[in-house]
Amino acid sequence: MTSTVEIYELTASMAGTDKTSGAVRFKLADDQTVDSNNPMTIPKNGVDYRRSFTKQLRMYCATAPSAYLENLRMYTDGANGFGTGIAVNASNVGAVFSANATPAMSGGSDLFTYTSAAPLNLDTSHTASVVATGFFGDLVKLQMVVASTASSGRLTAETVTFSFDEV
Amino acid sequence: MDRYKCSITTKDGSTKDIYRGNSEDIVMITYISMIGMKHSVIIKDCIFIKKFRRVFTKVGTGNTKQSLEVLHCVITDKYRFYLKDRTGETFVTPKDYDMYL
Repeated sequence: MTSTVEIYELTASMAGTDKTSGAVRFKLADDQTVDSNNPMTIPKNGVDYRRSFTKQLRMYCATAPSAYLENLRMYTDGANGFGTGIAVNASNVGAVFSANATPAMSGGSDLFTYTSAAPLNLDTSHTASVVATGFFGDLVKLQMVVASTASSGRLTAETVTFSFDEV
Repeated sequence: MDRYKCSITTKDGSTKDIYRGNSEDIVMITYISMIGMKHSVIIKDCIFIKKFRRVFTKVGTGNTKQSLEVLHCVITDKYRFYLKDRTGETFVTPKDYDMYL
């Protein structure tokens, strides 16, 4: 049987909100709702930065494959379309969920450095092949950082691609 | 749902959707579209290693909706064969080339 895989925005390592038919909204609140409440603000000070609550994403197997899933990856198109003064950090945090927060996340890299030619591996901690339903793969932590040079207004959406091989 | 389904032909001439036997028995892998178009990979003068479907799930960071794309792949010791499920485009690449959409 062909597997069905969904992408979840996590509230715990094994729980969250299904975003496979929705979107992820960076904001100044720890929730998964895509709305205009608690928007990111632009700092006045040139050396100050405003950080969103972190977002953590993980793959979920809703229908088990007939064999197994492997080669878990995540990447972008490589172009930051959010504009000047807005960055997104990304990090593989293994299989350990930590509470979402606004302080700068450690160990992150620019999300847009992860491309189809150099994707982020999501099977460095979770190394076992996926044969059953449930959450699988490493967690991806994301955080938006806004500088004083950013422009106000709603941003153009960016896309993150998750991929896996079904053998 | 994939637009192409896979059929595996073995040395004895039989065809199967899933084959769990010896990979050396596989002589042809055929992808058949819903409208009957076929792409066949003949395993000759090369060694079949494995086949898989690579699935791409896209998530927006704004208001975009998720979409799904599938790439079928056959790996041999000499080349890889890729087939885009949505368009029927095919690619033959070096044996270790990983294609992502």
